[in-house]
Amino acid sequence: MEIIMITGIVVFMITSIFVIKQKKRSNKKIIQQQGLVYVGQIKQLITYVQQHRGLMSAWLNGDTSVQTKLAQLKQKILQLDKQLSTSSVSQNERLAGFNDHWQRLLQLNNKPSVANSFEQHTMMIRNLAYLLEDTAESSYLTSDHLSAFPHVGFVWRELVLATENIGQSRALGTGVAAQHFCSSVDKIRLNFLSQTMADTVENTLQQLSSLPHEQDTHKVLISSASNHMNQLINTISAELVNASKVLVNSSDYFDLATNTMQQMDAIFAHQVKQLHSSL
Amino acid sequence: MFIFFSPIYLLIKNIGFKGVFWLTLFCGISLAVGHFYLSAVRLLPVSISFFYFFLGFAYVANQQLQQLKKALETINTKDFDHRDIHFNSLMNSQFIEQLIRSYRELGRVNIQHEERNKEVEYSAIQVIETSSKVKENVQSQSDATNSTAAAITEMSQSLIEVNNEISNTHQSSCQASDIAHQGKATLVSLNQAVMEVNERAQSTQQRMVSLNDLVVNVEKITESIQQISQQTNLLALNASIEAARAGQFGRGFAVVAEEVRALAERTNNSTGHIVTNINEVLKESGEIVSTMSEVVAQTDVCLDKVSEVDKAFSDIETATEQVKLQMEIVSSVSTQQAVATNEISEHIARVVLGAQANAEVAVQSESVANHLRKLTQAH
Repeated sequence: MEIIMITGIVVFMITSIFVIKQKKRSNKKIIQQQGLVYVGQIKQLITYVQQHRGLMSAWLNGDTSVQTKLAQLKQKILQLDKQLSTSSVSQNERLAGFNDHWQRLLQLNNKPSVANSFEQHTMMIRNLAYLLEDTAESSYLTSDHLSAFPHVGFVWRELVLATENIGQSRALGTGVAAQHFCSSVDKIRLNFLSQTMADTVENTLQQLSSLPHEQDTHKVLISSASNHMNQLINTISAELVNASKVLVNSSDYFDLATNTMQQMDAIFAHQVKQLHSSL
Repeated sequence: MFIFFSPIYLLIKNIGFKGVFWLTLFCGISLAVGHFYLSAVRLLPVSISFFYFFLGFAYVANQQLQQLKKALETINTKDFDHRDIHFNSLMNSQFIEQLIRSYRELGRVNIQHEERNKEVEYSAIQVIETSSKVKENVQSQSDATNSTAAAITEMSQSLIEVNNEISNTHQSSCQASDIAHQGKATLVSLNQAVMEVNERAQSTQQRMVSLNDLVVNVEKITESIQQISQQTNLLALNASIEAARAGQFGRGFAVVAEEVRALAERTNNSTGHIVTNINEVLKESGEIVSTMSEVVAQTDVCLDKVSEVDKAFSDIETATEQVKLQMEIVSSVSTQQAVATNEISEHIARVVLGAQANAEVAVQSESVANHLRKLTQAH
């Protein structure tokens, strides 16, 4: 009798453990899939804010033709922000911080200076980048939970920040090229960004992993992004920082930086796609 | 040992430490209660379960603590990257999440500090480049200022020499002015002397005219005497004729008449000589008058020339006076210039000292910036 009772208890316990484990696994997968959606939305929000930074800079420099685009971008940002605010991402105080910062930026009675606008946008983008990383980690999108991606953390932090660094170098470099003059502070910032980009090419991009059947695409994307980054670094060094006179065309430089950002975004999208397929 | 307690591990993993703790407590209470009501054989599985749960709980908890300690020890304190923390945590997830969150924020702060350090490093490099340029510029400025100071010193000395020369010229112009004054005074005396000569010549000319008139009067008187002597000769001739008519009686009278005729003839001859001499005197006096006229004319010319020379001397005097005044002005200006160049020289000497100080400051700035870069590189 006792043996039957003990056996029953053990069987019950094992069954319970199995059921609980399955439920946990199922919940985790749902959270991961939902996390990927949120991460994609936050990444899109970062891209919009980066674009807003560039257009705002143009508007503050007197280009009134961008007002329509600015209004459209504001709507898109507002829409994405609403979606995120109604999701579990809103539990992270960084989203509230972004909302507060964004509202304050829009409600400025006086036009901010170009430098101040750049700084405000950059702070917001950095905050969103950390929000993306927090969301990914709270959604179990880490190497501890994704054994096929041992360096997935680089996607959520280094890759996003590297793209943002290119965005900053685009904004700064376009201004330098337009003015045909590179100040000491611009040189410091561009040198710093170039060095960070070189580190990205050397370390971050090489650390990113891929699924076996996505290896070829992954290599092509990494190679293309590295080439674009190196070209951008060389252009910054030769045409902006060390040039006795800045002669590079601002729109050419803008296109080069934008193409490089698109290459980085393509890597990010490819990593997210692989994660989707692996879940 | 791990395999022996792996069921406890799995149990904790699924129901948590809390659940296993309550299970162990339940077994312990069952053991305590069963001790009074159950036989030793029936109590044995409960005892085994309690001790198994208790020891397993203790073992897994210890394992977890050891693993956590090891994970914390292996954290790279250079970057505080929370992604380096890997262990199968069975402990309270909130505690672990908080720990991870803290490390994540610490890592982000660390990244921001690193980025700032890098920016400081690039700033330091920029400061070094700027300081080097400032140093070169200041050195160049110092060299240029030194050269300028030397040039101004030379110019100052040159101006002193010019000033001395101007003083000498001023003295010479003063002497020239004095000489011109003296010359003018001498010329005035000469003018007066020439005027006196002119007056004397004119007076002599008038006297010669008067003398000529007197000689003409004498000539007229001499002609009257000559006419008288001729009439006397005619009377003596008539008396001889009458004496001849008177014969003997007239002989004495004839002798007297002859004597009167001879006297008249001698008078006539003498007056003839006088007239001849007077004519010569008139001729000579006429030439003297003519010569005196020329002398007067020449003295007039001399007076005109003296007037011209006087005017020239006046012009020279005026010109030398102006030169003197101008030289005084130039002398005053050059003295002021010499003072000004001396002041400039002193100021530039100060600028040179300032530039040298700046160069030293720039060198110090470069050293500080280098030190700053070393500090940032070290971190």
